[in-house]
Amino acid sequence: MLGIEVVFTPATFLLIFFGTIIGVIFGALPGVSSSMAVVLAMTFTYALDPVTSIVFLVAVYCAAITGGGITAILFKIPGTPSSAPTTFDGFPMVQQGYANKALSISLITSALGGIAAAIAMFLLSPQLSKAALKFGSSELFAISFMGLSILTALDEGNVIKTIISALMGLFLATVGMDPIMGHARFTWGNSTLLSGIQMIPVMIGMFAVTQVLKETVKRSSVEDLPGAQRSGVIDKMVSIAELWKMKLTIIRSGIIGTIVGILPGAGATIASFLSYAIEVKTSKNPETYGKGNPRGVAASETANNAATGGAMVPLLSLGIPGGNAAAIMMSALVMKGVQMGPLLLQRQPIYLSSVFVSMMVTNVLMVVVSLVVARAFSKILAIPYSVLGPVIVLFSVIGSFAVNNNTGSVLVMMIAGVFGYAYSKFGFNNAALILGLVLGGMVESNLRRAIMLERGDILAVFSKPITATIMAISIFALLWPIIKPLVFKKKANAVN
Amino acid sequence: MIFELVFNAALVIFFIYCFFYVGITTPDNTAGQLDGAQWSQGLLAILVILLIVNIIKIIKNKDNVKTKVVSLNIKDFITNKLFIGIVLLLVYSLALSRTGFLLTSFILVFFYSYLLGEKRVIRMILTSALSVIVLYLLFNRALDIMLPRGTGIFRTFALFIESL
Repeated sequence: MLGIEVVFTPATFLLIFFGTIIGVIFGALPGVSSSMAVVLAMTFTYALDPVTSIVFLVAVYCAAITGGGITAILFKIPGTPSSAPTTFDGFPMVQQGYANKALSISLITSALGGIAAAIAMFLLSPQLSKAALKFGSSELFAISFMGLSILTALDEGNVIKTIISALMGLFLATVGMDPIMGHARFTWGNSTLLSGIQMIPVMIGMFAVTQVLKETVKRSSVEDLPGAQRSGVIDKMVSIAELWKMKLTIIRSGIIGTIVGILPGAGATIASFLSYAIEVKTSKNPETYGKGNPRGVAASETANNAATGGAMVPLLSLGIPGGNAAAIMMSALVMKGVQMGPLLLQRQPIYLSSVFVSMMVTNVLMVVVSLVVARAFSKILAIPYSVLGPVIVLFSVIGSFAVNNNTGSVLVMMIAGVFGYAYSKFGFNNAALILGLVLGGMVESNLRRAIMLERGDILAVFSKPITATIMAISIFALLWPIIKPLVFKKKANAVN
Repeated sequence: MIFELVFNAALVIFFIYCFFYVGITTPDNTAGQLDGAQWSQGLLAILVILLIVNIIKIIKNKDNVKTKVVSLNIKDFITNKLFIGIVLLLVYSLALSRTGFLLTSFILVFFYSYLLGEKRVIRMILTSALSVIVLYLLFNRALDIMLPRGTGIFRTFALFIESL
């Protein structure tokens, strides 16, 4: 009821509608990821209260993930990375003349995935937050550490660089006042640095400005793609009977997406790839995938939208962002003075119910909005990047400046953007750095507090049952990329 | 490869400096505690070790990568799109407080559009002026976010636009 009261006021409902439109458009634009859409939309939340802000940002996030599927299907350009598997079957369907069918499958299954995950979030978050209330400093440290370690394990091809990136984020989080003793660290006498490195300008710089710089060097546009063609083909929307035939695919992908979304560090991209891979493996006709099988579109789009609901579970129940977009939403709330963590849902259940209702409304609204946007999209895509790029920079400037009405934040944002470009160019992981920066304060203060409570006995900190279990899982996740080749090599040798 | 090595080496040097800097500038440790300096130094020590491992990996991979002769041509470097883009962004953020959002952003959008391939001057002027004024008024009026007005004549101009 609380959520309905918040969302169904005219102003908030209009904001959700607006968020859905800009989310679908941003998500569909190549070069604007869902995280970047949330970063750019954050500028609009500065004048809003915390609950309305999160409701709005959630709408943008869900819609951006769906919007990414439109260009993936029509032009073989994934608007967001999580829509990449949608191109495998979506674009061949367009080539065969089934553009409307592919789009309607994508939009309806996205909505179904999103709604299912919102329900899962609503049911799971309070339980998880109740359990988390029993957590002390050592357990909270272990959970934050797990968030970082899983992220590291996910980028298996680049383990060292990802760990370096996460450590860089943790290091940047130490700039400013020591959270326990209040001493200044790495300030070099500069009073601005006393309040620490601001997360929001760094995030905006590393996502938005870095992307504009990448596009400056090498453009990714529709006209660059061979074989891209505008549809113009009249075909029917997907029928209920056809959707019913895909029920197992939708259920399976919804579950995979939600679970992957809940895992800290994982996200919509992994969810959609994993779901697509499982769909192909479990199919009786795997050879039809990649050639225009509607189930391929359904698997990818259901899973990436289900991951949005999953990502909100650790954010709302534990105060740990499940991915980049969740980290940005967390920063937006922290900036407004909201205390994230297990107590949030106990003291202010309005956050969970509002996010739930917002996700439900957005998932229904976005089907209608996306259909309209998809029809108009060949025109929207005609906006040249020479206009879009500088406008993205202006949004980034406003977003950074408005944090504390200081042009210094704009400089920080630009430096972060330039550094982010070099960083990603050399194979480091910007997302890991951001997650390190967001979790840095929590990791440090909880570990130091836990050691203080145990009077310096580090062994006592790590021998608590919950802490030890979580740490064991984290260390396993951290070492898995190193262990995995050895395990598989042994198995291969045994087979030979 | 050479730029990657320089980047990694620069980070190693900076982090070693930070390691000693934080040790000197924070008070001594209290018994039974992990103090702020020790936490930072722990992170920095692991960072330095991993960066050195990464440098060794880059050097080892050198044989697998086609060797490319690196010649630093100053003219090519300063006419490089990326370099010009970075300079534009940095100069913009330094000038913003003095010249205000309106003029500085107009110049940025104009030149950045050119950098991204737009060659029609009239279109560039119209796009720059329209996008800057619309965003300024949108955030100023609808969201009460006061963007930098600048000083002197720039401030007067911003006040004039606000009065529209």
